[in-house]
Amino acid sequence: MIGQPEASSPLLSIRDLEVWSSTSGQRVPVLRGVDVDVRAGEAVGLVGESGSGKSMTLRAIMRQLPAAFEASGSMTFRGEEISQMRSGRLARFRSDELGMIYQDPRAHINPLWTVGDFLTEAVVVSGRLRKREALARAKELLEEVGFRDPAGQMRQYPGQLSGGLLQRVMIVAALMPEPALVLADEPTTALDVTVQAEVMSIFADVIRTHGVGLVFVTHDLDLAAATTDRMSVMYAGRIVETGPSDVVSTHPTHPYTSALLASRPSLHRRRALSGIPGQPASAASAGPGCSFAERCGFVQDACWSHGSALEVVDAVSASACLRTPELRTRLKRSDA
Amino acid sequence: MSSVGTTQALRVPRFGRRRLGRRSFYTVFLLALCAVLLLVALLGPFLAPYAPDAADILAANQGPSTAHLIGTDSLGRDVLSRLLWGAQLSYAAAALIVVISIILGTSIALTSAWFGGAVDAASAGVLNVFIAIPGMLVAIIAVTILGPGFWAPVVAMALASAPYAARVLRSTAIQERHKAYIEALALSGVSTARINGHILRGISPIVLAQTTFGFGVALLEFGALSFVGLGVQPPTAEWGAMVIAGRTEMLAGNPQQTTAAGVMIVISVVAFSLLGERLQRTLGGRR
Amino acid sequence: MNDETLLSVRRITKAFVVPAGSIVAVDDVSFDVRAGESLGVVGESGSGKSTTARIVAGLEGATSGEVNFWGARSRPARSTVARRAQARRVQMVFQDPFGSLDPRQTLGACLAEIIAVHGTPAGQAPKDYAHALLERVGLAARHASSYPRELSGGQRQRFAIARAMVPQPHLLILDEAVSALDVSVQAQILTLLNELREQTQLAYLFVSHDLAVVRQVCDRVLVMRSGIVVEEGGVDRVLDEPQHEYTQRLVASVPGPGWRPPQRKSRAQA
Repeated sequence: MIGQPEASSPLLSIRDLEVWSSTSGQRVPVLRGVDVDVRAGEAVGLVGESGSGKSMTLRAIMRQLPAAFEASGSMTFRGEEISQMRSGRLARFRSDELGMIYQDPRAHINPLWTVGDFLTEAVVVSGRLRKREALARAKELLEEVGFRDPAGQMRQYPGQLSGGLLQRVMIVAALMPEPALVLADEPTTALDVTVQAEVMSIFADVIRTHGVGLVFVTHDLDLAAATTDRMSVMYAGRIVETGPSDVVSTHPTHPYTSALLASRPSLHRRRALSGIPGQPASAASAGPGCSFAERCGFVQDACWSHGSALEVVDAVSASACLRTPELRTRLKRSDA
Repeated sequence: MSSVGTTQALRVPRFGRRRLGRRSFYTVFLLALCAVLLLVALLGPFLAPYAPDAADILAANQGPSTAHLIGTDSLGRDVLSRLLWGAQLSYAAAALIVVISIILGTSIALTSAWFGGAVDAASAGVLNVFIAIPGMLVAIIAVTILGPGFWAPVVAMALASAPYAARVLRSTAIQERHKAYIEALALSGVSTARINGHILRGISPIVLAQTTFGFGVALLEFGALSFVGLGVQPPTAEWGAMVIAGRTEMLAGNPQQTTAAGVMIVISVVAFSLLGERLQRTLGGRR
Repeated sequence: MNDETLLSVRRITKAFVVPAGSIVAVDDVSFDVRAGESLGVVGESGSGKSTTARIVAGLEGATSGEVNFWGARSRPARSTVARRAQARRVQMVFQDPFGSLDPRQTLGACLAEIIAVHGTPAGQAPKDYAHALLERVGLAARHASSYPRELSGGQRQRFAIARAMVPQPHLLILDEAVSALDVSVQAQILTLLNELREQTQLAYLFVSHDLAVVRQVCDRVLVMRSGIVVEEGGVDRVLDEPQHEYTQRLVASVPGPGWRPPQRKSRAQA
């Protein structure tokens, strides 16, 4: 996997994060009690389908929730409570200590600026680096991500670069201020699959070299397994399973993860796909009890009233399913 | 947002404040104002206290009084009554102009969008030529040939305005025509007429917005024609004509005719233009 | 699956004229589809796979080359009469579940409109035929009075399949039809497609960037890149033993169990 996590207190620690929207007077839940830990140098995946709340979690960390959305719970970065940060401190947090990579690079780069200006502007304005240092660092990082002519690249405009190249520029942009934490929201989903593979290999390299903590959001469980140390599977605004990435992707402890893995066609052989009946729920439509109950193949009466808190299953894994201990062997991935 | 789209069924209210947006109060206000204006135009003759040509020389050029709420003009006719009678004429003219031009414009737009290629290029070229000719000029030429009055200017203005409507509607129609559901309909073997019905329904919010907006413009331009003496002739009451007729009185210190008519024109044009713009923004943008 | 050739595409080329010159989206592409067969067309962006599909469907015309159904030449249909005949040969399911349905029409009205053109098999009543189609794709008869916005993405795609089946076409083109769906829903639709083909002898032209999905649903596959077919063959053979370097790269790039991104060889600029 990627990082070498330091054995110390977590870099980022989220406890009981709840997010809801209060548009039109009603309170509509979006995230219900999310817990995440990221250690320095560790890569953590957040995996889920639509409505799972994975992107919203990142936005909550950055405190960039949409209008009329509110959050509660604790999010600490190096022990400091993010939700308490005042505007000056928050601005510095976002510009100096946090790097963000979005799904669509073109929406987040000013097309009228050169790549060089885009990369150096933020760090120079925030005072993190001086202009000359910023330029040198940009050139270094551009070379690291595979550009053979960094100086020439910096003179180009975003419109002259393909999606894959632009996403590499975004990776550089995220790493410019030497952040401690990088958040990546489906960074390769919009790219062709061969380009995705290239970008991911660069991404993995670079993250390892710089020792940053990473939160990697994706809907592709195998992609997350390839690039993170630990991952959490989200469903309907909650985390249903957490554990080491290779364990979660081969021996899942929650029926949802298992069903999700069984739904994905295999490149290597044809097999009977089950799919999961119905469609993915969002936090708004889930009732009390387990949010997956109505689609679960292992549902029992107790599931409808059992709260969905994560319970520790063994030394490294946690699951929100009350039947995990008895179901474990049956949840094993069949095409691994 | 992930490119794996939302599979959750959307529960969107059928119609209502959500579509009108956050500035819904403003839109509702405009709607109410325009409705009131239309009502006044419709009922004008019934609301007017006097006949529009009831002259009373002795009461000429009076300011507002209990007998004449806005005053009288140089021939002693009640300005308020002439305003109310004139409203009907002005609005009728504007309505006819806009309806004819929108029908023409929509037809051109749909034909252009459906056939595309050479047909579309040709129509775009022709439209651009017509747009380059000021509408007023066309109207003046038509009136010179056909004589002033009501119908000649109306038809002339309708033909002159059609290209403007056609241009906006053409680009909207082209966008709609290339949407996936229209392609699917074409593939299904449904008749060309029916498919264009779908396209028409798809662009109907823009058509509505253009109609409303165009009403304001037509009102102003028909008034302008009468203002220069090429539209409605005296003694018929019409707002544009009243503005020009009261010109000398205004300089003599009796501004009531010109001012009242002018104010009514401004309010009407602004109200309908703003409403049209609002409709275009809310119905057209949010698709 | 019988041996008759349903679709024969011969040397189609599509070039677009742009200010800078011309772009060749599809370059001398030829392939066949037999009745009841499922042919996958895979490629990344710019490969020309979607343009090829649209040419086969008759939505666009090729600059040169031929498209033949049952040996008869097929051209982009413009008139109502031509489109009606074409509709009975080939139909299409589009990528965007919402954009491909008229938001102002109920599902039932949409089906009725098409049934009115083509009639029903065995003289069934139109309403019964519509309900039967809805149920065939896993929707309920009551959905006939629903609007597209009331349905989820997966349900809309099911409906799109039902709609495509009204004229009883021989070939169904699926242009990235499951790409916009969540994985768990995608699997439902893929299962449905496999069932339908078994039951009806429908042939598929399945365009996708996702190799694993193509494996699940197709018998043969074409691999396209920059408008050219670089490899072609049975889906098992091509995906297990890819011959062309590009196919090999594609196969190596698909995340799966135990997959790792390829090691960086050197600082090569992509």
